[in-house]
Amino acid sequence: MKRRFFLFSLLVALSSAVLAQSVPDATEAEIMQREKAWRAALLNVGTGLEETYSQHLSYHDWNGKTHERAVLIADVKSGQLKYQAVRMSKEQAQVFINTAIVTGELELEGNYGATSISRKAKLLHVWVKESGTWRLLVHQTQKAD
Amino acid sequence: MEKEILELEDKWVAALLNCDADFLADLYADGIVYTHTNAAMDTKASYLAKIRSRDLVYHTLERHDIDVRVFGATALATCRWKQTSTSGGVAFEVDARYLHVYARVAESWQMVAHQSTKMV
Repeated sequence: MKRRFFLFSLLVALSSAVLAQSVPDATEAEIMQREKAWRAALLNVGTGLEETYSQHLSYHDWNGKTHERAVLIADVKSGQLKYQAVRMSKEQAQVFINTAIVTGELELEGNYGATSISRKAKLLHVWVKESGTWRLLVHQTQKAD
Repeated sequence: MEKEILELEDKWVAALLNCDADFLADLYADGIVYTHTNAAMDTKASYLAKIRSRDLVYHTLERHDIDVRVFGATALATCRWKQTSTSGGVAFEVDARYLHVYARVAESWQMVAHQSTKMV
């Protein structure tokens, strides 16, 4: 009986340890999925951008300029801003309870009206959990040297 | 909450100017993402080592247009900053906009990201 209790306790302890380790990884995977969905939305005339961007979105471009959420979404949906390629490399996520930070190198190719865009930049994204859903609160890029 | 973040921002500036690595060690989360204006990145350990060794020294630091917003357990501080510093013996002048991200961890605010973007 004692042996069975010991084995049961050991099993519970091991399961708890595995669960404790897997929770952050699961959240990081969830954040990476949200990043993937964001890139897909940019390529797919903005479908899903409203759900991705927090109402409080703060969007700072590589040149230090800021953009309004409504204008960003409208530009993509209207085709004024059209991306042919949105690629991320060296992507990393860190989760701090209800705040997640993603960094990476972002490559964009597309057009804004008649102006072509070809840019490589360092990216910082801040995701926050709002009513159970991770939403993008900050997008900030800076020119990659 | 905004006031608390503003106080931390003021203390952060004082710590940089005074090479107070101990204060920064308390303020920075272990996994802080620290991106400089030239896109170079530091970890908490590598940044603090530069401050402690005086490899990185801030001489002057001015801030304008400070804006703090708190969203539950996440806070953002943005501002325009101009600073002069010496890094690895090379003098720098920076005119940039920085973003600080704070997360509420174990009853206190910790800085989890710093990113500075050069004004073009």
